[in-house]
Amino acid sequence: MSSVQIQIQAINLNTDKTLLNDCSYDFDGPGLYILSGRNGSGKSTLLKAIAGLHTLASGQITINGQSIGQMSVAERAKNIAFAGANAIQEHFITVQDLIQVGRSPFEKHWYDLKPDADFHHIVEHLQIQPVLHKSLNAISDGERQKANIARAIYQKTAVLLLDEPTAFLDYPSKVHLFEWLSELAMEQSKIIICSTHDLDIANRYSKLHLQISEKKLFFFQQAPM
Amino acid sequence: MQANKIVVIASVLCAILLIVDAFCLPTFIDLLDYKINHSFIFWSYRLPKALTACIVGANLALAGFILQQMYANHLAGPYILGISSGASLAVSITIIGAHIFPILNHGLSLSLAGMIGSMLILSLVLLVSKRFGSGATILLFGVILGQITGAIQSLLDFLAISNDLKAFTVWGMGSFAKVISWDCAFLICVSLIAIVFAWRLMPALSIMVLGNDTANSLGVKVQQTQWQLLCITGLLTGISTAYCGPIAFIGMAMPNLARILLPSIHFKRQLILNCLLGASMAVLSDIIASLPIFSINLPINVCTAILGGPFVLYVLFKKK
Repeated sequence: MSSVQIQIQAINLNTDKTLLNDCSYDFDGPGLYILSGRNGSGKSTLLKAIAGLHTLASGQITINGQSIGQMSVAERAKNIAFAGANAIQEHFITVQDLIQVGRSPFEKHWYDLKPDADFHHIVEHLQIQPVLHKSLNAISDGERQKANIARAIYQKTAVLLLDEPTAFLDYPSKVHLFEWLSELAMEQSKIIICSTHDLDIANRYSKLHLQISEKKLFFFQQAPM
Repeated sequence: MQANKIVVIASVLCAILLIVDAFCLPTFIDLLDYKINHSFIFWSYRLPKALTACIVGANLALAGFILQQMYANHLAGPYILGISSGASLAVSITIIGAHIFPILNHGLSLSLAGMIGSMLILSLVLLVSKRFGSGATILLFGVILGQITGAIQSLLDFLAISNDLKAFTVWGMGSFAKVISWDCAFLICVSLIAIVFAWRLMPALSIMVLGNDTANSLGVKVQQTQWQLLCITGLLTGISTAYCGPIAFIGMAMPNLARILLPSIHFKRQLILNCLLGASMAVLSDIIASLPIFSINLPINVCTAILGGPFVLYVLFKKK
């Protein structure tokens, strides 16, 4: 099994203000990495940068030695899945439709696919079976968030980036999600990077903690509470 | 299977309306009991009119569908976003310009002008939506843009010589009857090409509904696809408007009906359904407009507004 690696090399990230200044970190091998930091510290922006959605001011990010900036959009979608924090509300898309879109980077006719074993496995773990055929604006915020996470996981990429996936979830769902993600990372040798504020739960399932503070990225073996 | 059934029903409906429009309605000439050549009327008037209604309806509904998805706003459409007005203005300018450059007085140059006009407005709308987001702002911007182009249009009307004024006014009410022979063939060919291109972009559009970041992370070249869709929408609206005048409500109402009938992310199927429903509504409007009870042909916009307006209000006030 090939080991997946992400290298962040001396990156500078600016939006309207400078968010990260000359940061480096090597994600060496699979695992569930927890990213924390105060509101507005740049967690989402860093995740977007790794997803290739944000242009770097300087430095580079590589996945298995290949620079993200030089990958084509289609190639990136086969390697990195990203679930943003903003919920999607569309009344003509059902939860099943949304999850199915996860296959679009790989299958030309993804909209005609029937749900497979992986699909049912993911739906079961996230407990969204009851709302599978409901439209996205007819379900709760938590269920919508689970549907979007399911979509990203169903993309089955080596790198999975989740921006505050537990923000709207109930307590048992949060615990189960972190537990399942840590298993998933090891079983399928994925790098999963989760930004979150639920550090007490995340701490139980991961020893890989990153924190953004004062425009720098720090690594801890335990959640920096 | 349910989905396919709806598409089949829509095609049957569309075909029946088309046949009624082309074959079954008496013309005034029939009623006046003149001795006339029926086959001449059919080939040079009835059939082109019915086919034009069909293709223009499909174009406008598809353009409305694309705009509604791109701007995530179910009340968007070529008419309300000012795109039809942009096309109208460009066509008016071309009609006036034809006095100076006679070469402009041709179906081809008029449709080209319509396309350029609608694409200019569309680009403005796209730029504004990038800067200020979608939602209510974009609708208001479109309405205001429509007002401004409308004002310039009024100025032209005011300054125009009486023949041109009559031409603008009649054209502004919408009509499927003036597209004959080669113009009709040209309109159908260009529209079909645009529809085929749109067909190829449908999967990407359906992913873009999830938001630009998500779409990008799923391998969609968002910016490029947006500009391609913009060109197609401009082409569909521009050519329809150039030949038949600005036609209201089809582009706004039919995508909503399609979504209610068949809520699905399978946008290729949505495209077919939209085209069929748009064509049906346009042909139905044409049938109503040329019913013998009115003693003259009504302007198309009168019928589309009466058919489409209440439906749009229903969508607006319907609880989610």
